[in-house]
Amino acid sequence: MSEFITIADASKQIAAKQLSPVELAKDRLARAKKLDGTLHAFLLLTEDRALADASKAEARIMAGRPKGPLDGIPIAHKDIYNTAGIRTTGHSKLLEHNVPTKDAVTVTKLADAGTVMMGKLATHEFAMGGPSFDLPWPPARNPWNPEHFTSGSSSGTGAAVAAGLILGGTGSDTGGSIRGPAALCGIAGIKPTYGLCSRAGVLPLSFTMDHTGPMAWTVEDCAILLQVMAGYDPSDPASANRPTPNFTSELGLGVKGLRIGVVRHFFESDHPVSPATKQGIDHALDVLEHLGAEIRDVTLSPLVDYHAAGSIILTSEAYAVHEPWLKERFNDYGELFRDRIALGGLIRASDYVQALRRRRLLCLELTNAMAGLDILVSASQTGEAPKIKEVPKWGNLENPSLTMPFNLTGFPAMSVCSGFGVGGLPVCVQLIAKPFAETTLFRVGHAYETATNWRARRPALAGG
Amino acid sequence: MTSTITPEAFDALIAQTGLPLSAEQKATLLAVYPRLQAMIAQITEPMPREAEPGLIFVPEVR
Repeated sequence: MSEFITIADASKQIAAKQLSPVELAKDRLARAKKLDGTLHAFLLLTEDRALADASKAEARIMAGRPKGPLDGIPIAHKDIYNTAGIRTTGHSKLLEHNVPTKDAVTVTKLADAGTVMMGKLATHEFAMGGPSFDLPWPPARNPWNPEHFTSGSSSGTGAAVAAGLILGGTGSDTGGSIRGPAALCGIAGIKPTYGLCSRAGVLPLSFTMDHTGPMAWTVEDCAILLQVMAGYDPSDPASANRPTPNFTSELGLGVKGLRIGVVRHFFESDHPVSPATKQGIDHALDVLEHLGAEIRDVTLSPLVDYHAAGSIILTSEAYAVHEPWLKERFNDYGELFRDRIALGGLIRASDYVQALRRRRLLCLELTNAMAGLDILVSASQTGEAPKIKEVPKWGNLENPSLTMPFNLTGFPAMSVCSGFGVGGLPVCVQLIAKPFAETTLFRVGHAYETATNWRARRPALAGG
Repeated sequence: MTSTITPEAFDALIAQTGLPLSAEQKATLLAVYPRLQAMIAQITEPMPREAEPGLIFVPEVR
């Protein structure tokens, strides 16, 4: 069996009865056991459940009743997604023994699609902060170099997908928590439009900034996963009641005639990126232009405006979510989470409201800027992953986040690998589309991925 | 970055939260408070009166 396989390829082989879901699950479990002592991507490996799911998938395939492209595909969930009867901790001492009675809606949807559930994945505590070394479990490590950071908070998903322990997984993104680890682990990850994917049954951090979404090796695999995760959910008060498009329908159409805007000031002056990241973005733009896209520069408000409004809202809402526990069990939280969130108690109500007003103005600005465009391009991270022991505690206050603008505005955004830096770790580009235009986002990301050879390279530690 | 808040005023702010902070934890937060103040200043620049919050309120109960 190939050490690495995408969801799209595995799906074809399973449907053709050339690949056994049981053998695939056993192979990935063996990889996880071999590598996870170094990577710490899993908080819990659910071996029995995985083998049971795989057996059922195999029976369906052999009986000629496959459920679809995810039948028999090994995935895992970030450990803020509730899983019935299976521990869900938020990577925190506060929920160390928490066993939900009900799945998150997206967990149920993915299970109903025939996926094989491999386990629960590391996160930053309650999906914020990190890396932390004072929690009941260690932080995930980057498969490209375990001395380095994965970013977060969907850190375990990033590491496990990049190392081939799973073929895809779930993440959540409140300020960049899907796109960050996707970027630093060299995979693809999409934060869909706010309201597209249910958040019901996922531990909340910030009600108006939280998004759920998939992470996988390729853009195409993300589209396949999102197809199942997306859709109206009346149990999520922010869920958008609109039809779900076919997210793979435009893969392969290319980018000829599409109009792409580049927010250069975000990554050249507002928060300058590394030469390798800049080179990767410029190369991506060259590739897309060569494929027929029209490229032009776009100017928005300074990145810090988006960052400040997003941070005030996120910190205030997260404080409101955690306030009862903060008062009763302050020291049961890890240092990073509790100190960052405690700041939320110092924000006045009027400042929170002003941030919400600023948000609307920035949404209007972004909408107007994209009126004549199909896609925006920016950076997602400033460079390669730093060493895990050198990540500053207050990085969230020191520099404006490149991902925050699209949590604040709810626009869909995706990280796609755009090469490697001087340290041999991945760099990436961020693509942004209009609300509910994920199909276009996948079209452009897929066109770029298939025109380059970055997907052929895997971490050496994982056998690449 | 210098804070515009006195230690006494900061103590009062912390007391309002009801959080059980140690002296060391208070000092940690006081040290980064100017950065929070800078972010607040960033979003409280004058806006037109008609600029409403970026929220959509759906009055039906789902």
